[in-house]
Formats: sequence, structure tokens, C-alpha cells
Amino acid sequence: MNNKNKLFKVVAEVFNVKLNSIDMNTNSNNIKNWDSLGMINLITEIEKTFNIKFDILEIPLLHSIKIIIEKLEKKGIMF
Amino acid sequence: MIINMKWPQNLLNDSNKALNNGSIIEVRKILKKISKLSRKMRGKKLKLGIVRTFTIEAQIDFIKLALSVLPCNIEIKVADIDNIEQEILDLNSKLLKWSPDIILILWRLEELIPSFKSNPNNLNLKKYKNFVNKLKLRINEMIDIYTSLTNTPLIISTMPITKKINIYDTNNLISFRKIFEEINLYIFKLNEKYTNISIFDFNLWSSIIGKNSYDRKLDFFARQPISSSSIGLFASEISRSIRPLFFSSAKAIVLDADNVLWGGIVGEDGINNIKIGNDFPGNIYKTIQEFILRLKSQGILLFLISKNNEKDVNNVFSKVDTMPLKLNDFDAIKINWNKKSINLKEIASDYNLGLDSFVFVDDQKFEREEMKFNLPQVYTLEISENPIDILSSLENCWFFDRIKTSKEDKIRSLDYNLESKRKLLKDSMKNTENFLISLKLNAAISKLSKNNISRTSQMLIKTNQFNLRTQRHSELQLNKFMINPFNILLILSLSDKFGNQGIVGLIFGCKEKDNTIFIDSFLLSCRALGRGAEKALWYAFINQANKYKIKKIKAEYIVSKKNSQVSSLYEELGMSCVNKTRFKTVYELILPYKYKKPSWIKIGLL
Repeated sequence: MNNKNKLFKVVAEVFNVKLNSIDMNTNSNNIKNWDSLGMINLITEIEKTFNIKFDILEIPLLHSIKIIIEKLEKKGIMF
Repeated sequence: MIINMKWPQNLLNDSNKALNNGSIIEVRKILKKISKLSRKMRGKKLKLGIVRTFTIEAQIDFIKLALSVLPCNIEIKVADIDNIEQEILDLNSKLLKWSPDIILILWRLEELIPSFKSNPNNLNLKKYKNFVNKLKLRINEMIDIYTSLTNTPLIISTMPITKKINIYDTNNLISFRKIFEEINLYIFKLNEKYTNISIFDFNLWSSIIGKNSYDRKLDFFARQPISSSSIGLFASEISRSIRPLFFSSAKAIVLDADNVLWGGIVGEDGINNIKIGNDFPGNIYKTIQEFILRLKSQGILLFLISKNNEKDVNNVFSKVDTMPLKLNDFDAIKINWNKKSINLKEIASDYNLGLDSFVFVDDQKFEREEMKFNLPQVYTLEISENPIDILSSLENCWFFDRIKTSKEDKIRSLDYNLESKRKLLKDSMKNTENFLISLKLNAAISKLSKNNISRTSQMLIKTNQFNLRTQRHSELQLNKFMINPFNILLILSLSDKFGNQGIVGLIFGCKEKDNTIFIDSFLLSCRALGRGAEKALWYAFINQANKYKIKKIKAEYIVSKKNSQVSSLYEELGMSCVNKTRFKTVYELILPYKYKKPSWIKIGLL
């Protein structure tokens, strides 16, 4: 599975939505469960899946798939 | 180690894996599987309310899973953050209205005394003492009011130390460390004063797990301090603290001798070569023996079943002076070459114990498999031949956990020894009534009251065999019973020439309209069976009902897995059957009625 699919799968499973509803434009405004609590679980699961740690100042910015990918790329994860 | 003998092993393994892995996605997948199990497999329903001063709701599925594996059908409600008093001291709060079976308080000093977030070294001593005393007062008042409001068990956590503490602080007159220790000690002492309070040692847990238990980043970001890598362990620890309040504990341990109580095989290596004492590796076996003695002091019965020559084993106990355990610490000893399951079965019947209250410890795989095959109800401890592993398995066995040793538990061990003596006497007597008369039985009947409510509710939870309706009432329900003065709520204490057994039975009649009384509960502890004590209790009950001018007694026998021995009790006691199905039989008795006083038992009324 490539990293994009891996990420989509984590997002879908954390927020309990269908995998095919996730695309590059998915963000916290178009997923109901992507609230502050959902955010905590999302961070934990992404960190676990890609074996990285987000910087604390990055965390409040992680509100869309695009930004998450951007931050992961910075940590050497290839998309 | 979880004691769940209802679930398939692979589901338990998957649950454990998901908890240890710390992934919410995996945990949810397992929870989904569990939700599809039959009601029987899921276990009894349990409602847990959590009040807290930090974020835990994103991790609640971990706690759900850790409790589901007990097994129980768990529901959890998390109260609004920081609202401790508001939620547990107001009968109309969202939490109490939901009527939880148990409430857990998770809190941290940082949130209770916000000014401690900054440096306490800026405080003067007077202000510092003032803070600590205020907090103690707050806790004291909270618990005082709570316990007067409700009997719902409350688990209070100690305060975890999540702050880095430097040498200056450690040595300062005003220090964080001191506050934590002082407040935690105060919390520990709460259960000296209150019966339905128990402690969850959050602080010990976080110091055992260490640095990895704390997630500083998410604590700052979302006030969620428990790390994702340790939340599974945290959840299991909570589950372990709750378990003994609602599930039965082991009553007996059956031990092998060679390579469990000492290193080596006495029959082959000889008495001088077995390993037990202060030197390695004997020191491990010594610690095992000391642990077993601790179990004994907690009311657990000790049995020795060994395939050996009796003389060899006796010699070890009498001649080796570095053994903490003595032969007479055991409640019964079977040294022979029979199958271990046969020996264990005999002990269970001699001591009137259910097979599911035994833990079996043996270093031989063959013996464990034999036990599992022939007596699958017995909890066979999985161990290797490595003595440290045996010790850890014993220490980590949840089945031994119990919250409080009541007075009855402490005399139980003594009492079971008496049981053997009684049995000897019984064998030598043919006529049962003569035997009973020779026991000089004395039944003291009293009313349900604050003094006996704790033992009473314990009996309601534990008693399976001589139990007509198997109603598991909480103390809260018992308190409700006591409100109506025309309810007949009788408690039986029994003594005989061998000793006092304490409270061993009860019968509860609830007043209904038309001068009718319905028997809600009627039970005898298994320690009191075979003495006709139920007849004494029945005599007292009928007596009281006649006095209250009751016209009719209604009763039921509800079939359970274990209570077949009382299926025709009510007929024997003079009642008539009015309806019978596969699940229950309904009885009636028209009063006034004269029940013959049992001749072999002295009855002290009220």
C-alpha cells in the first residue's frame, strides 16, 4: 500500500467513514467527527502508522489531508 | 492475567494485543467483534461513571475493552471535565441520574490546585500549608457527603506525579514531592473510614511504567496526559481494580510440591539437595512460599497435592528449617499417586467449594493438561518451569484479588478446618439428627441493619448453591428494603461446639398489598449446609409473619446453573406449588401456619 492510501485508511478508520469518501480535499470541515477529540486520535494513529512524531507547534495546523501530507513529507515520508 | 474462561482464547489474545499496541483503530475493531457475541458470553451489565480533571474521552474505548474482557457488558459515561463535586454530590446530576454501578475519580494535583502549576517555591510556608489543608478538607467533605448520599462503590485514584522535580525542590521545605506524598497518604487513609471506597493507585502505576506513561505534548495540547503507548496498560489496571467488586475471587489454591515450593525433586535429589532458603535459587522459592502465606492471611485456603512419597514431603517440612510454609498451614494435604483431578475433586467436595473457585499450580505440563481436561472449571495457572515465572504468574493472577477481607473471611480458614473435624464426627454417626444434636447448634436470628449490611450484600453476590432466587442486590437496594418496617428481613448467624461461623444465611420477605409477603431472597452460605439451619431460619420467618398478621406468603424458586439442590426446598418447608415452568416454580402458603420448631438447633430470636 502506498503512503497516500495508508494515510487515507487511517483517516477513514479514525473518523469512522468510508474509505472512498476520503480524497486530497478532505479536511476538518467536511468530516463530522474531525473535532478536537477526533484530532487527538488522528495524531496518535498517524504517528504510530508512519513512525514519526509531530512537532507540538505543527499539531494545531493539521486540519486537512493536504497539510498533513506536507508535514509528513518534511519528515521524509514520500508521497 | 485475566480470568475469562467463557471466551475463545484467540479473542482474548487479540484483545490483549490491541490493548498493548495502543491503536484505537484496532481496539474498535475488537469491540465490534465483542458486540456480536451472545449475551451470555458478554457477561453481566456494568455501568461505570468516570469523573476526572483531565482528558480521557478520546481513550475511553481502551477502558471499555479492558473491562469487556472480564467479561462484562460495559457502559461508560464520562462526566464533564473538572466537575467532581457537581457530578457525584448531586442526586440530580447527569452522572448519578444515569445510576452507575461504580464511579471512578481520576484527578491530578495540577488541576486541583492550579497555582501549583507555577513554581511552589514562590509560596511561603504558611500559604503552602494552607493549600494542602484546604485540599484535604475538600476531599474529606466530598467523601463524607458522597457516602451519606449513596452506596454506589467509589474508586478514588491517587495523584500521579507528572512534573519533573529537581534536587532543589526535593530538599526544600516547600516541595512538590511533599505535597504529593501528603495528599496521596491522605487518600490511602480514606478506606479506613469508609466501606464502599477503594483506591486506584494511579501514582504507583505511573511510576512503574515510568517516563513512557506520560505524553507531555498531548497534555499541553489537549490536557490528555496518558500516552498512547501506555493507555492499554492503564485501562487494564483500572479493570483489575474494578474486578473484585463485581466478580468472585479464588477461594483456594492447590499447590504442587517439587519445583513449585522448592527447587528440585525431593524423592530423587534427596532432602539435602533441594533449593529453599536465602541463597540463590532457593531465595526465589522462599519468596513463592511467602507469597502463598500472604494469600492465606487474605483468607485463601491452601491445599497440597503432590505425587510423592508421603514421608519424603513430611521430612522436608519437619527437617528443613528455611521453609516459611509449615505443614499445618495447609488446610488439606493429598500425597499419593492418584490423578490430581481426582484429589482436587475430593477436596472440593470435602470443603463444599465450587470447582471454579480453585487455582491449580503445577510446574508439569502433563499435570496441567490433565486438570484442564478433567476439570475445566478449575483455573489452571499457565506457568513455565522457571521459578521467577511461577512467582510472577502468582503475583499477576487477578483471580486472587479481593478488595477487603471481611471478618468472616478471616475466620473462614479456621472454620474450614473445623469443617473437616465435623465431617469425621459425621462419618462415625449413622443417624443424622443425632449428629446434628451432638453439634450443639445455635442459630441467632437478627434483623438486617447497618451492622450486617456489608456481609449481607457480600453473601448475596457470592452464594450460588443454596440460593432460591439468586438476586444480586447492592447495598443500595438493601437500604431500600429497610425503609418499609413491615418487610421481614432476617439474618442468620450460626455457631456450634466447634466455633462461631458468623453470618451464614438470610431470608428477605417484602410486604405487598393484601397482607401478602413475597420472599425476595432466601439463601445459606455453603459453609452452613447440611445442618438444617434453613429450617431454623424458616421457623423464625413464619413466626414473624404470623405476628404481623400476614395472610399469604408467596415464594419462587428460580432455576440457575448451580442451585438444583434447593429445587424442592419450599415443598419440604410446607408450601404448595401453584405454577411450574422450566425456569421457575411459584409457591404459596396460607397463614396462619404452624411450622414445627427444629429439635436439633437452639434458636435465639431477634
